[in-house]
Amino acid sequence: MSLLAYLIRRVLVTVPLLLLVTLLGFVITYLIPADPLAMVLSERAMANPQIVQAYRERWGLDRPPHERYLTYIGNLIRGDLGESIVTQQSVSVDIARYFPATVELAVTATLIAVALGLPLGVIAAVKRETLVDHLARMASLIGVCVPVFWLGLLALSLFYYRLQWMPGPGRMNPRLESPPVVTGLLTVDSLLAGRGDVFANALHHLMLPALVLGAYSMSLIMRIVRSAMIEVLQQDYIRTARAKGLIERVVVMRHALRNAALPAVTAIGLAFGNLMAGAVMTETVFAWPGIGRYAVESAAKLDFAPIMGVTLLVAVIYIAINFVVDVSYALLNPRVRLS
Amino acid sequence: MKMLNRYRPFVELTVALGLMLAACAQPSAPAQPTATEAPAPSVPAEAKTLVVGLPKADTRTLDPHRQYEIAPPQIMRATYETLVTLPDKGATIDRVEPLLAESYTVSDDALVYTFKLRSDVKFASGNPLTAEDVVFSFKRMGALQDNPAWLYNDHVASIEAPDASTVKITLKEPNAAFLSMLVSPNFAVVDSKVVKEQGGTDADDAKDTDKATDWLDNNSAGTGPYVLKEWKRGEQVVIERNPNYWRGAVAFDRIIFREIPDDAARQQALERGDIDIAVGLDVDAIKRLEGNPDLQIIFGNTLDMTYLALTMNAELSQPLADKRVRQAIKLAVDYDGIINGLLGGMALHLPTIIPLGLLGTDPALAPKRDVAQAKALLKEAGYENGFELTMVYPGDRKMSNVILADTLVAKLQEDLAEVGITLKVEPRDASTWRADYRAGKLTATIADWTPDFLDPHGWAPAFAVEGASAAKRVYYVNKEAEALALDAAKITDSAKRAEMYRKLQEIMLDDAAFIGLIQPKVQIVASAKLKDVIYNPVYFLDYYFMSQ
Repeated sequence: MSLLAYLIRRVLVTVPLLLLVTLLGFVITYLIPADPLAMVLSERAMANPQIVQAYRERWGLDRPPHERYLTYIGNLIRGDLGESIVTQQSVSVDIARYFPATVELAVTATLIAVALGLPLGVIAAVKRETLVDHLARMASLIGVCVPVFWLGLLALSLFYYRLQWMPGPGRMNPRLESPPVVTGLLTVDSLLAGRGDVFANALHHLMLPALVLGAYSMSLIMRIVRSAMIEVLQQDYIRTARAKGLIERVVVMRHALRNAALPAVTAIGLAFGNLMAGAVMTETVFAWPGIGRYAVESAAKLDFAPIMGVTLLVAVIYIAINFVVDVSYALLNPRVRLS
Repeated sequence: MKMLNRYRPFVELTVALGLMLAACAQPSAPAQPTATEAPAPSVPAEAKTLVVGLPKADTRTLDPHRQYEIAPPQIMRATYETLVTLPDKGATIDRVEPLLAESYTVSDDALVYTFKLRSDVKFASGNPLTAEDVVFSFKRMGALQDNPAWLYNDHVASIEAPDASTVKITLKEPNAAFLSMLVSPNFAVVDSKVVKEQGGTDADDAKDTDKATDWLDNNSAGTGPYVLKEWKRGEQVVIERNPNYWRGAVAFDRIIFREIPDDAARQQALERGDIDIAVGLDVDAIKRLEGNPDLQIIFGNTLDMTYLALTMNAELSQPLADKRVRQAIKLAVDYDGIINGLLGGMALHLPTIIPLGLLGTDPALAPKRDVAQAKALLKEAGYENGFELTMVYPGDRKMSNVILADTLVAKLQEDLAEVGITLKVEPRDASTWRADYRAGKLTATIADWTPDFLDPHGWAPAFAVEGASAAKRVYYVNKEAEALALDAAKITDSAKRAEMYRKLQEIMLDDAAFIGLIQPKVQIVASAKLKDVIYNPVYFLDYYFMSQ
């Protein structure tokens, strides 16, 4: 099957899946016996029939639930994610506002995780049962076990408050003037605006939260790469390669790592998904105005449109990552066929 | 691979659902704001900038005629002004003094309010302030039918501008509390020319036709000392000096309100000097910062409160329908243990439902714990061997933003056990709890109330009038209390009003359906270099007075 046909089939499978997600989301939100208006209106306003009526009309809450759901789906098909009752903005606008901050954080975190996790895993496997291996495994155990909010607070206390190596919470120094928003990625926007000072400041701000957010992924990647490498290194063809007189670096990098890469790709895909969950806590500790905080706040306020908007976004990201992982499998291992 | 693919949709669905459920199950968001910075060398030093670190801001809009959340008032105060304000830089709350008005008169029947405007006031745009601006502003606030609209619609019969500097407001019925309502940031006077240019209107159908809010979210159109420069949602609000300010130059070129949701991060930013003021730090943080010579701690009394509500409906609870049982509970609560033990003294003990500091209040009215008397009352009511009482409460919530509901309820459980009452506790999600409480389905619970305006009238009728928003939740009925709550607002004699509110509180204490627990204090930590950091319960901080 060609890649294109495979892609089309995957998308077709995805559509009913997403529809089901919206239906369940709607039913759950609807079943919660609380009035979303009570989340945004004061006691006084709730006691005032005109204000309540104006809000019901404004947000379509005066219509029967099935009608509201159908309207939602109709708008969704046209690419309209609806409006948030809390922020009173269109959900697409809100997502465009908050998502880039999370993307910037998650991508940096993944880069750090791969850049550190992959070599550490290889080294730990090659130097198996040595001090290096024990230390790396210990570090990865900590990375996997320690809750991200705690790690975040600890990192902030140490590197910002005590050692003063790192800037504090937030995406940049508030005293700097922000560059015009183009992509929403502060590092990119500052470069586009030719603002080297903002770029340097934003990058500096990105390091600590990205490291904290990436700690879990890094540990996961390291552990999986290590065990995959250990398995591969015991295979006959490795012995053959060594017997041919190849130097160890070539054996490890070319022969072993290539074959240990499959589980590593899965781990990276999984880790990226995990970042979305970790982002909520990291964003709170580091005052990062991202999608995680938006999602939590919307859920706490029973704000249907943003809850669904973020859920769909996350579902699409997961599906896309799974797709990329599958395709990478096929590219990395000729025995795997996309079917 | 085939296998994998066959199951993949289910795996994906599970993942998506899991995320969604996780999102739905989240308790109310961790309530805090955010951020700060290391002083970067590239920052120009010449501009005088103040950085305020806020917990998570709940701002939905910066349109003065729509906002009603906790975070906006200090920004509103810096950018807009009102006809009257609080005296002593905001420190006095039981009377008002003129601000945009030069003088005012109130008719003896508390029905007609006439304001003479100052002639020297200009908006930030340079337009002079006129009576038309006041009329437009107040009418727009009512016609938008948003959160604060009741302030206008429930009270005002007509508003007119007999000449360019006079505003005459006639109320629907006498209301001595109206002046204190006018201090509210919702009665901000906006530049009607500018707002109309941006699509604003005060027409009756403004709720459908007004288009100015998007603009007002990012700009201001007031007479205040600062103008709104930028609102980056979830991140920061920036205001800058108003060059046309009528009361003269203010101390800062720029004020940045930065959200730093995490308490510890906000505290560190303050200690590092990245922010100049930290709002919303908890008791432990305050204790740590107390000895720091670079910082000052400002204390203030909020008008927030947390109270214990006991139903009077016999169908919900036979024992509680007996006044003696409710009084026994009132006497069983260890108020001192809650305020000094759990809260480290960071709260006042309000007697019933009118916060201390307002007209007619007296800390001496607050009940004292008396276990023997409580037991005697229970015996008299026939509950010598105690009974079981169910308390449904918002489990994930910080009551009055200072104490976890779980902690407070555990303390009440312990206190009531001493008189033989077994408190069965049922924590619920805040939204479902609120719906049930509002519907009058709960036997006993704890709840909060936040101020709407600075007059006992903001509390008395809601709690004392049969069927009113708070009273109906516990089926409170007492005709004498109801009459006092309503009549006290119809006269202008303050001494007489104070007396009536005192009598009302005595009756409500005797009925013991609403039992005051805590009225939290607020702590603001600021750089010691700042002068006149003065808390007030309407605007929080007034940046006009603050200097360095």
